[in-house]
Amino acid sequence: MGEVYVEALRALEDSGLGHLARHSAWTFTIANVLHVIGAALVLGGIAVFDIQVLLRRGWLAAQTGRVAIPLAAFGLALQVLTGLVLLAAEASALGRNPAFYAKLAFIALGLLNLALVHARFRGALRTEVPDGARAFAAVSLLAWTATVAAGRMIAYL
Amino acid sequence: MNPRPLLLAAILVSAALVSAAGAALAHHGWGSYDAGKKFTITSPVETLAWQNPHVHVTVKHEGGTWEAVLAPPFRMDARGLNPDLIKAGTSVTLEGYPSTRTERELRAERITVAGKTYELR
Repeated sequence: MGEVYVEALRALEDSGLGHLARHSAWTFTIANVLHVIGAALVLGGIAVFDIQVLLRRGWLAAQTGRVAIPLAAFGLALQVLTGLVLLAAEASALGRNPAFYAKLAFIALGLLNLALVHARFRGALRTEVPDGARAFAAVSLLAWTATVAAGRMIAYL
Repeated sequence: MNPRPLLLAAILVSAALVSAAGAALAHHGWGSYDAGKKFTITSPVETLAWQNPHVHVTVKHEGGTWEAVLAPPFRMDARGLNPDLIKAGTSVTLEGYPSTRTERELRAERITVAGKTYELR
């Protein structure tokens, strides 16, 4: 398993994308800038929704979610694409950075939490978010904040 | 309005920030390089990799090959450096700090080439 992971990182680094990220003047720079904007969209978008839920504003939370959640989802898609470019530049080293492992764990927590919320509350999320969703909102806020914090820490570990 | 959820949110966000700050303090701001062991290498450039996220050169020092991490290409460019100026074979003087993690790796604070010194931070 560990070897497969290391091999995959090496393959990504040696790929055309890795080469482009390292040698093109603008690719890495643009990906880097967009990755910051994407982080703002993910965390900002999901935080306004989560905070409405935490404040028991069920109906308002659902209304907020109509704008905020697509924004966060767009941000997340942007993060996956730009993150792949940034990772490809130095995949072998970055992929084994402790902060990167932490970041992946927090992303997994965020996505698992998201799946559980949808499985449990379904349609209610569109009309009036139930108070039972507050614990999930707290986990969400923690997971995505920690994801951004861990991501920034990659450069320092 | 019930203030407790807001308080909860504030605590969660603070906890994440504090844990990140703690990790930051545990390391040097400039990654894993020992700022207390500044040293200088003068050598011809063996190889040059003008690439993101940082430009790298390899140089000879005390019988071994050292890999020096310089600045990102855009910053190198902004400080007046270019690939031709430090191409393989060019004699350079690097002032920097050894890595605390990787043997024979240094982070260069400045580079002197053809009598001119360029700051890299």
